[in-house]
Amino acid sequence: MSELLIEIKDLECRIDDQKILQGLNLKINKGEVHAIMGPNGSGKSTLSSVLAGNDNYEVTNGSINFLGEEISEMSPEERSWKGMFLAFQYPVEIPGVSNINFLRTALNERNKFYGIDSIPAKEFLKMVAEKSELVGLNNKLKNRSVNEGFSGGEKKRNEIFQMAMLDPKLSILDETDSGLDIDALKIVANGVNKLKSSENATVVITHYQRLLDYIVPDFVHVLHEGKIIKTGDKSLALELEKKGYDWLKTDSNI
Amino acid sequence: MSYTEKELKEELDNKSYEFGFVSDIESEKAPIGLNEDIVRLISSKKNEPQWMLDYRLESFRVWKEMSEPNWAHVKYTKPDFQNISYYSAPKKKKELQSLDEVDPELLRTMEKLGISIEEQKKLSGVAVDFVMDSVSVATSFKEKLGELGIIFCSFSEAVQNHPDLVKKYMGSVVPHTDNYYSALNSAVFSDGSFCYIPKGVRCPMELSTYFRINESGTGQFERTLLIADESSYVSYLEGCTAPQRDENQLHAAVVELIALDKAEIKYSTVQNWYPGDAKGVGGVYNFVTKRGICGYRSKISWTQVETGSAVTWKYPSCILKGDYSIGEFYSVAVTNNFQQADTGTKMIHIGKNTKSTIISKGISAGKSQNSYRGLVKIGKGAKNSRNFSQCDSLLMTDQCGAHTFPYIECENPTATVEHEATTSKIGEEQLFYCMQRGISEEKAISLIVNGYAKEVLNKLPMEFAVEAQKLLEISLEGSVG
Amino acid sequence: MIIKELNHNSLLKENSKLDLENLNLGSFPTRKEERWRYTPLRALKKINFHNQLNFKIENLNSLEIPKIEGLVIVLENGKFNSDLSNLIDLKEIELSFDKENVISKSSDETKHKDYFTNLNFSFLSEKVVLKIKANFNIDKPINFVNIISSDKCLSNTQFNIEVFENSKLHIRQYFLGSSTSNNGFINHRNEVLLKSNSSLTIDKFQDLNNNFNFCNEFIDQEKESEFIMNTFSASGIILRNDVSNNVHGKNCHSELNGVFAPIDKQHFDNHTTINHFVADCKSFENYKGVIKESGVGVFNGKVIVHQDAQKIEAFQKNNNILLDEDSKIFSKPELEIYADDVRCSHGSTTGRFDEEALFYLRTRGISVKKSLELMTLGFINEVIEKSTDLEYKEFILKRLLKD
Ligand SMILES: Nc1ncnc2c1ncn2[C@@H]1O[C@H](COP(=O)(O)OP(=O)(O)OP(=O)(O)O)[C@@H](O)[C@H]1O
Ligand SMILES: [Mg+2]
Repeated sequence: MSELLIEIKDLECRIDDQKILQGLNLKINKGEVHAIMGPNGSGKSTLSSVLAGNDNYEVTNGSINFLGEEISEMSPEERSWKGMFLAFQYPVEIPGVSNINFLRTALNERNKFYGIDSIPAKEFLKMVAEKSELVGLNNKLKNRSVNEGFSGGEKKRNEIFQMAMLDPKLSILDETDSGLDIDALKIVANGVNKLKSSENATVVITHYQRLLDYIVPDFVHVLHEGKIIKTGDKSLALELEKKGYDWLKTDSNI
Repeated sequence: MSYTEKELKEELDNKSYEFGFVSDIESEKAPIGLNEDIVRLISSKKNEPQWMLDYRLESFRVWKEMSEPNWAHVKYTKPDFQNISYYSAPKKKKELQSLDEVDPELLRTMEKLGISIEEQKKLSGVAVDFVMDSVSVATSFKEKLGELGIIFCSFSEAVQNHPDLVKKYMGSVVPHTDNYYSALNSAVFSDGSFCYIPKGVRCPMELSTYFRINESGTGQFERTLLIADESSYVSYLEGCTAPQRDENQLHAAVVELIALDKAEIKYSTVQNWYPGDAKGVGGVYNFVTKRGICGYRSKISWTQVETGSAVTWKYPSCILKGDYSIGEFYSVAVTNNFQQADTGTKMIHIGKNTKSTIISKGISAGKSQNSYRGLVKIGKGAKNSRNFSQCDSLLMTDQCGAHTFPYIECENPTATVEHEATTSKIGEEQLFYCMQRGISEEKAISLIVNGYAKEVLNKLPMEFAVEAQKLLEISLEGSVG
Repeated sequence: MIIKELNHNSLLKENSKLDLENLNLGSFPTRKEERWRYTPLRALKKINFHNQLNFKIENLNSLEIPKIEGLVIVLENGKFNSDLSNLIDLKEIELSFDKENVISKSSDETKHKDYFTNLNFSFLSEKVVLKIKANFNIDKPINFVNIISSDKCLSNTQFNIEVFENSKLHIRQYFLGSSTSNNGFINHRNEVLLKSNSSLTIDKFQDLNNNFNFCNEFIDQEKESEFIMNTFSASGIILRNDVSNNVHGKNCHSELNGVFAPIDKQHFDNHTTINHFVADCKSFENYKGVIKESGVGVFNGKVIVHQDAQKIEAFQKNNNILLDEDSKIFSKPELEIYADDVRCSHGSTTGRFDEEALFYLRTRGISVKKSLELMTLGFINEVIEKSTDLEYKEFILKRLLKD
């Protein structure tokens, strides 16, 4: 029926001497939207970092199979070329490097990997115009340094803009909704929905059910102490909004 | 601030040097001048073993070959080393069993210094070694410390009773060949403090030494050696005063700290040597070499409040040899009238993952010159080391100077070194705001300066913090034209 | 330095009396001197220099520089090369090669008389003198190219620039070593006088390959003048710049910027002194070091605010990136302040690129090498972007990044 995109098995990781992910399992098929919720510090951002290949975290057990390939040892850039995209919870500022130059380099590096010619300037600029409209990114931001001096909301939009430019297979949006005003939330969600296809999948990490009204998930997972302790459908998010996490935590202890 | 307005007024009324009184204690003084015989005399007076005399003679030989450094940003008449008496001891010195046996005049002196030993004992349990004209006259709390195996005594006692420790560590951090003044000190030092904290012991009280130059025409050359054995901790305080005199007195001390693996030493100084009068006459030349060495995961923290001396030349430093070791330097240096200070630190990163922090606050008033000079060196092997330095200068008049001379030498690409410095005038709006609220200008300055220096003052042990605040205030009297 | 081969007679009339045996250039600098603390002069000292004048370059296009238009003055191996130059007649400018020209304004004490200065004066082979008459704004940059193309050739050159009242000028200086010559040495001296309300920008580019270049620079500013110098140091065995910017008039603007990028055991030394003698001026300094493959960088910047020079604002910044093992940086930003109503600050940072930023770039599919390149570009961009000429900017970047 549906085709497997990524399968995470028994994933464990740690930083320094602290265990963070402690046996996490997750399967995502193409065309699906998954939401991950969970209390602060439960490991949501860590999971996304590990999937993107941040080697600050040491993977001590488990496997990550992405499009039929084990990627635990793969460099972040190669994962990116294969279609992994992470919209950071805290996008990094890179002074002096313009957004445009940055994206063009990113696209060309990928093309190089696949042995494709680099993208002609005209085509590139056309693409930039198209995609920035999709997320309503202010034109002047494109020429500014990557994220430097952007407001919180602008940074988040810029992340989605990059996602649109790179057209990934798996997009992980780590609290992309935080810092967005109501209108921006709609625009960003709209952009994400437009980019959705039967070939890709999206993971949205969020604390608020509100976003899920716009990006409707097929599954909702609750992450607690580095494990998924409950999986449900959209209604789980509503329940969490009402009851918080405590009832689940006690559940899982039984 | 924890003193009354009345006290403050008294202090303000009496603008002369607060501690500028002369103790009337009979003392024994060596003839002036310096030659091998004097070195031998000092050694024999102290009944020293041969190895100690050899060390002195060797240092003297080295010193004669050296010339006085002149790279510091200070101008002064070089002291005439042949016109100084190199030994002066309060007479009739004998082993003191308790404070009751101390010359009452001496006790009064201490009281005037604001460090009445009795008082201190009661209040905070500080163990005090009192060094007057370079001879240690009283060490309190010896017994109590002894129970923990802590040795806290005068340097000469240590030479007699703990020769192995002295032999092993003396000169290991500051070799006698290090510089002109350390060579001189190694030849003629008269006394000082010695401290050893055994493995795993946390010294339960602040250890403290007060230095005072009393006799005229003498130099003070004390030596401090502090060894914190593995996993031990000690906090050490040092206070300095000298009476008001017309001629320049010389103070050339050497302080060596050894923090073995996982040990921590906190060394605080409130330096208030006589700075000379408002015309720049007299005052102490303070040429001091202070340095510590850190073992694995150990930490040395220098905190200093420098308000005194006519000329200061002083760079308490850390050699961060052990991996993960930490060096800190927190300094407030105030100069007024014709004072000149060239002070700062050296952080030598040798081990991996070593970390250092430098916070220096300079305040210049009158016609004084105040310089920060610091070296941060990241050696080739000092992977992932970090330094942060912040050096601020505050200028109070248009006739003084504030200077910053940082040296940053980095030979490892994984290290991070950050240095920031600012120089500005004391905020006129702030002053006006305070005065509008009915605070006198002097008081307002003191408030602002204290706020400015807070980051450093906060690092001082409680007993010292109050004293230091008072000192800042006194030093800046009449500083705004 | 071995200078017995130097041929002075053919160079200078007034030097013909010069008695080589008794020539006193002062003592050769050693590392004991604070100013020379980090400069390794051993290699230079051993070279047996000559100063025979010969021209080898046939065409400026054979050099790695962008196309140069307008007035071009070319010195090769210390001598004016008229074939390569283009002396178009500009009525606003007086150009001469008068070795006797004296521009000196600074009191002598601010001009250190060291070994290399004495060497320069004693064996001066060419002096270019430019005077910009009052009330002109010359928008096209004037180009000064100083090339060394012969092995072990010592070229002692000087450049005097005087900008008269209310005039504005932009100069590009190229110090180049041909890629085929080794151990040549350009020992150069710039002297600048800016009259009131004048403005001068100098873009200085150093690309010496396997040769040496020292520049001693003295800038005197009268009231309301503006001076900007951007120094780009791309290659050379040892490059050393000693800039002394003396501000004598009120309401002046002084700006010294630089990017130095030594690789492969090269040593780039930047020394600057800004002397604020009078009140109400502003100065800015921004130097960026990118050091790799056993390169060594030095920044020693000094701002002196003299007594009575109130209301000075002086900002000094030096940021360095060490890209690999064995690279070294020595940074010494200094402030000497003798006036109280000032706002001065300096900052120096040394480190490597932020790991998090590197990760971010990689998650976007940019390789480590390319990411480092991008970040280097971003790092030096703050200085480069001051140039509005795109072609020049591209060229500078390319040479600094060495790609
Ligand atoms: N670089 C790091 N160094 C040390 N601890 C870390 C690091 N990164 C994450 N942690 C710890 O791991 C745990 C999980 O952090 P993570 O950022 O993944 O949580 P989160 O679920 O995303 O929380 P939030 O909802 O607040 O974003 C926390 O306890 C955090 O402190
Ligand atoms: Mg998170």
